[in-house]
Amino acid sequence: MWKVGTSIDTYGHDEALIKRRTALADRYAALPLPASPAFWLCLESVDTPLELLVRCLRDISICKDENMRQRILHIIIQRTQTINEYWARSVLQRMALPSTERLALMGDLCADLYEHMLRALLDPTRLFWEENFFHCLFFERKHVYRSFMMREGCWCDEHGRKSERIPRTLVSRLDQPAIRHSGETYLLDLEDEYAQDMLQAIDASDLLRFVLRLPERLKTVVLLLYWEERSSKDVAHILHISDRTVRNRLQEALKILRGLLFDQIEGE
Amino acid sequence: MDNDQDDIFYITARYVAELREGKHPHISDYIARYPQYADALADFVAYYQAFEADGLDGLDNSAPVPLSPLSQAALARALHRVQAEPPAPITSLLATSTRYFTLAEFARKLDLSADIVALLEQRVIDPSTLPHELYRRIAHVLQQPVSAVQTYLASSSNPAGPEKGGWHSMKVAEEPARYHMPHDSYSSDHSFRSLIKESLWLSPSQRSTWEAILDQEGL
Repeated sequence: MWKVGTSIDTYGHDEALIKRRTALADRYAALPLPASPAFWLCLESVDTPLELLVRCLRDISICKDENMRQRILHIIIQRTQTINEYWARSVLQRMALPSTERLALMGDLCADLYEHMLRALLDPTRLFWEENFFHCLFFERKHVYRSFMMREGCWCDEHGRKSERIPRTLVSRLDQPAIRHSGETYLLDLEDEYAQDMLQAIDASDLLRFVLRLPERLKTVVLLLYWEERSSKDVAHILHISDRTVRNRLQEALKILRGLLFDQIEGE
Repeated sequence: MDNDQDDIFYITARYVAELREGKHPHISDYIARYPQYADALADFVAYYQAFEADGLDGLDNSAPVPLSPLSQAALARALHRVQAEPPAPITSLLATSTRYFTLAEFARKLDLSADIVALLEQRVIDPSTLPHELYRRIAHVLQQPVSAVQTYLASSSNPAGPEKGGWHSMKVAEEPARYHMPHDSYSSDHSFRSLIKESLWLSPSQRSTWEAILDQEGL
């Protein structure tokens, strides 16, 4: 059976997991003899799950051979370079940067990501890579994104950052009513209405990029209120906190978000 | 990886699977079900929706293609950084730079018995008889690469045991500290299989599990 670190019983989706693990174990057992031409043909095939390559990389009979290890690592990077470069581009997409700097930052992001990937792939304790490669890659990219944004001075600490200039591009949209996907308009009882209007005026995809930079305890509240459009009462119930705490956290988050928005507009 | 991190991986993987199946999972449902991970789940979902949700379809099953100049340079930098930092060698199975284990605790984590763990720690078991699964488990507990565990267990600082002069190099006057484990009562065959067979502390189910692992690995 494919080995992982946690009992699957906890998660209520045992059947799918067992199927997946069995399929991976079967594929692994059916691999041709390591280092044979058939083995490499199989590993380079698009049909071979990346999880299997990770397992091979960590296999004791292979990990003794540095050349084989390097070759497998290379195949993994080759098979993921398109999505990794796409990801790096999308991270930098909304940042106002000169083209030369953008290219340099793309290189930095990819180098950081590959470094994280190499460390994870070579670490046999990271068993989940052998079960769900792409999900691990999401997490790795999330860490790299966060580190990158911190390095670039775009991440928020507990206090956030402030700016005083009112962004012209947002002012024109502040008087538009906020509309739910269902078509209804809505209004939250907030003291910082200005910041809330700004928040409602930006696109959902942009909102998430800003929300990501919030401290964790604030992020959950904003996500539930704005992404899922839950009421503050619902949020209080889901998070087992009081309405007052929801409002306080939201105000704190809005204050930070306002600073982030100003910074972004000034950067443009 | 600790259990919390495992849990978060499984829960978020399920969220992503539901999304990709065309269902519309609510993060609030997940948070309500796993309130202890509320912040981590919200953090992942915000990131996923912002950067990953649209970018994967059709690109996640690419055949290997030659590396682009950008990826080539990035990979070279990454390799240089990774290779520049060799891992610190393991000096004891029961102590890392961040934590200590008791014999019983370490044995529980490996699903072994404390007597065998003591012999592992003393490096008196023939390393060529150890299953890879054991190396993997030790590496997992110590958060070290398998190669570091292999190096530690292969470097028999005490190949013949203290009674047979294995500690000649020690300069201290006192007797070397030893675990009070009855390894002298075991047969002279210090293969992992024989120790599994002879251990009085292993439960029958543990014994059969390890024997199955040894069979599977042809040891």
